Amino acid sequence: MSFLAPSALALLGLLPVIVLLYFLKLKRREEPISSTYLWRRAVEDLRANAPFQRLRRNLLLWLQLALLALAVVALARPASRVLRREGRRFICLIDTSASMAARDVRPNRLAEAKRQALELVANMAGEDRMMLMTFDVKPTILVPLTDDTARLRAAVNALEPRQTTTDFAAAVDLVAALGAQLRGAEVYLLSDGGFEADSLTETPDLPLRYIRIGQTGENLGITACEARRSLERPGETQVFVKVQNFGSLEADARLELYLHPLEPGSAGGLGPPQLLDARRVKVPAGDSVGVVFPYGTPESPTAPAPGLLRVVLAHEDDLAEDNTAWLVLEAPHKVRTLVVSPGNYFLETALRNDPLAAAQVVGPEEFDREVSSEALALGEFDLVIFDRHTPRSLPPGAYLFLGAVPPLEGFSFRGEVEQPVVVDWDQVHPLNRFVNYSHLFLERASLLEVPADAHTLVEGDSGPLLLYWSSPGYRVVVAAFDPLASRWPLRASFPVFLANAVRVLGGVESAGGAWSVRPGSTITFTVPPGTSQVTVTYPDGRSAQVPVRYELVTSGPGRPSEAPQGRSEGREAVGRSQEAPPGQVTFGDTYRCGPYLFTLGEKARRFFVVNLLEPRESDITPRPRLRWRRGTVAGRSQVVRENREFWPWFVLAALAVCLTEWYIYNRRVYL
Amino acid sequence: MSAELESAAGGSALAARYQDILSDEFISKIERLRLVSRKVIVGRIRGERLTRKRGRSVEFADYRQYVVGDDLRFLDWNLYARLDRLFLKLFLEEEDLHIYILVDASRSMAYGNPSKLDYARKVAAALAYIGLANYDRVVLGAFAGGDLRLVGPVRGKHQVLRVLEFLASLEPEGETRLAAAFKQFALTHRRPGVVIVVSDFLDKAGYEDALRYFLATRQDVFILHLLAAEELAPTLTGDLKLVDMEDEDTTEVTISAPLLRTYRRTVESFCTSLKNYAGSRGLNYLLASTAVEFDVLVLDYLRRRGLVR
Repeated sequence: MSFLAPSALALLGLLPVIVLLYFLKLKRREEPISSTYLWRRAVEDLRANAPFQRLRRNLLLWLQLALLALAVVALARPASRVLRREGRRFICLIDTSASMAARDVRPNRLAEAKRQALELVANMAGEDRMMLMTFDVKPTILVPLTDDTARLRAAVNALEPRQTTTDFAAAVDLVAALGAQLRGAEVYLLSDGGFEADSLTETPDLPLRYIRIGQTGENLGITACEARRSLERPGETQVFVKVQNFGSLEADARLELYLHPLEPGSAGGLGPPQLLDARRVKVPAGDSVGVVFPYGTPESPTAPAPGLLRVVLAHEDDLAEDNTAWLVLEAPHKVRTLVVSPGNYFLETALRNDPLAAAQVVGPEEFDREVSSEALALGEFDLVIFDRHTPRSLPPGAYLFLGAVPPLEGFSFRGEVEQPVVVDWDQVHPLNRFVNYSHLFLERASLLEVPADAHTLVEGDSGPLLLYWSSPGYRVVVAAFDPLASRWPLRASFPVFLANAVRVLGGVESAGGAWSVRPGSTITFTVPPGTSQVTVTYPDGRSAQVPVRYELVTSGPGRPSEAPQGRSEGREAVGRSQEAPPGQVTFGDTYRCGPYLFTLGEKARRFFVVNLLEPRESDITPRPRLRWRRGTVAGRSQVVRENREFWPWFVLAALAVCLTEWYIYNRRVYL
Repeated sequence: MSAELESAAGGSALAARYQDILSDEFISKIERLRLVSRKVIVGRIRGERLTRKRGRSVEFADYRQYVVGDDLRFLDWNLYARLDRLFLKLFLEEEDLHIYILVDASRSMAYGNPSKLDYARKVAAALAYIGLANYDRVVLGAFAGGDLRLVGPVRGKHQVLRVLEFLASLEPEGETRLAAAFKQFALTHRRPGVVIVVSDFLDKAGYEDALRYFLATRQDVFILHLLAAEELAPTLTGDLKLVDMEDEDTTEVTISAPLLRTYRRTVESFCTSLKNYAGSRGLNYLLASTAVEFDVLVLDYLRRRGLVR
């Protein structure tokens, strides 16, 4: 037996006080009596005949001492390891997200969670069975329901922190999906609660025990980092950093900006880092501060060379993972634009007059004949505009379709409408910046079947007229009408829209933002035909081989296309085309933050950077309680083991002693 | 109140003062009772004469042998003639019955509810009335702190007011000193009669010496040992400092069941030893509790014990 609140035992120090009070107490009531003659004789008789009289007379004292002792023991919460009910089933759900790397508990939260999980495993007996799950950006079942404690222990020991966001809802969904075979199981959640749990609408009908890992929330982190290039002055670059303070004290930190210039000759592809700038930032508690590092401006005329930018927040706090952010800084260049058009004066004129666009125009036949999909896939062009022409296949890239339907899954032609009317348009989307569609009069437009996640830019009375769709690798804008069949090209809004399309689709503004992904996201890119292998170098220096997938026809992101019946033309084209298709690299092991270097053959290299930049993870304050099944579950900091507490019995005993004492005091019935 | 008492009291207002001591209703119950002595033969016409002179009676009792110095007038000459031996004729003496009622008025008698003194007053009044109604000579005494105050002898119902006044004037005072009081009584009252002592006998010096003073007399001593119900079965609880009402002596006790048991045993043995002491010396003993209604005591208990008939 042990005590859960042993400090209460200090109250036993009151025992001597009671004895003392007993000695002090006897303020006897005076009672006049006819004569003390008989009483004195009785008292003397009693003393002579009852050797235990003193003890008996002190019965009340003994009872009071017993009462106090029992009450104190009850307060100290005596408990013993529970007699295990055999055949229990647990789901041990361990949070491995970035916030679990916080070091407010030593060595870190994940280690503490592992320790508790091991204790849970050690507590298993008989037919107890446990399932081990982890969750971060996605849930993973590490060990299915088993009573093999060695396997569970090994799996727990092998856990490593992953610098990702947390998707608790996905884990709950998985648990709910497993619900049938886990009926009656208990869910042990070992987490700091750093996720959006309150948005859970439906939770499985399983009891949750939330073991709260973590103590404090003192953390300063970079929650946003972006490099922007000026639209009009390509040499001008601004690096924007947002520093957020999640603690309860004002923080004073140094923000340092390093450049790792590209050096094709070196082993890692990067030269030695150069300190570009350093700033002191003062962030009030619970607030955030934005810092801008400008380059190529009159104040700071030199623009950094292409390479990787590293922003470091030099500050000691509980979570180090969010103190560094990486950016890929590309050399400034114009948007290489390919226009596939049978001839469009307005389009070509508008592009020619755009200082950021470097347009090249080809006819449709010429495009089908001469421009290989390899060229598109390798990113020789930043933007391809298809004017009234539909290509056979579409590798990942940025496209603008005018009066044509992209050959992608989800897009199809349903018919035409005459003289559609503009109903509304999205005025805040960057593509619609400074564009007014109120004078857009169309002769006719196509009725399109579009993917559900397509964003409508201009809404017509019978369907979308202009829409934007993006998915990994693709950024597509589709105009469901031919601009030449309208008066739009004559209006100022047409060149303005084209300029927006060049900037947004061509990726001018983000200055390398395309190469930055969130932890746990998949990186997809195409490689030249014949590339047999790609080597990835992780931020920690490890390297691994990534297979290259070759597919006959790419009609969607990573999905082999079942050529539809109505498009026999496309199948013929595939059969006819003997050119080797480009390969695809899909890489998902992006669980650590930092730069990932992909080496394709001898000299081709490509950097991707993985940044956390997630306020929800940087906010490491452990959540005290979780909502679960129309109630809340309070987090407990410890107690994986179950204690059976005995204090109610002690309270009952104390009550019984109290009643006895009361009875004896009132009735004076001693033994 | 009876007609006689009323006339003796000289008015109902005065008589009403003593209703709580002796009520009319009770008087009607005890009117026909009389006190009995086993040692003293009461003359048939006792109290008919007011003279103090006593003659010898004519009622023959016994013979005894003549010894030198005997009154020759009582020799039975007929027997001498027949047997040639001298015998003296003995006659029963006729006397008035003296009734002495001694009431303990020490402070300890103030204890109890009703107090022992109140109870003793009523008993004394009743017994005195019985005596007065039968033309006995009644002497009433109260002792406290070694002093003995007496009233009487009185005789006849018309004297009852004196008795009641005396009883009503009693206030508890002084300690119980039985020996001094009884000695004083024994020295001054040697006439045969009935002595009724109403007391709690809670004398720290003991009652043995005191009672010895009655042994030498021809008096029929009746001890009415009066204890309060609270003394016989105390209802005290708690940690107490018992204060003696007489001498302020204190005893600290923690009331407990064993203590109460021992106390009761002590009281019992106290009463038993007093009873035995009295019995072995020819004294009558009756333990009375204030819990017993005093009319029950007088009409039933004392009757059974032969004090009244």
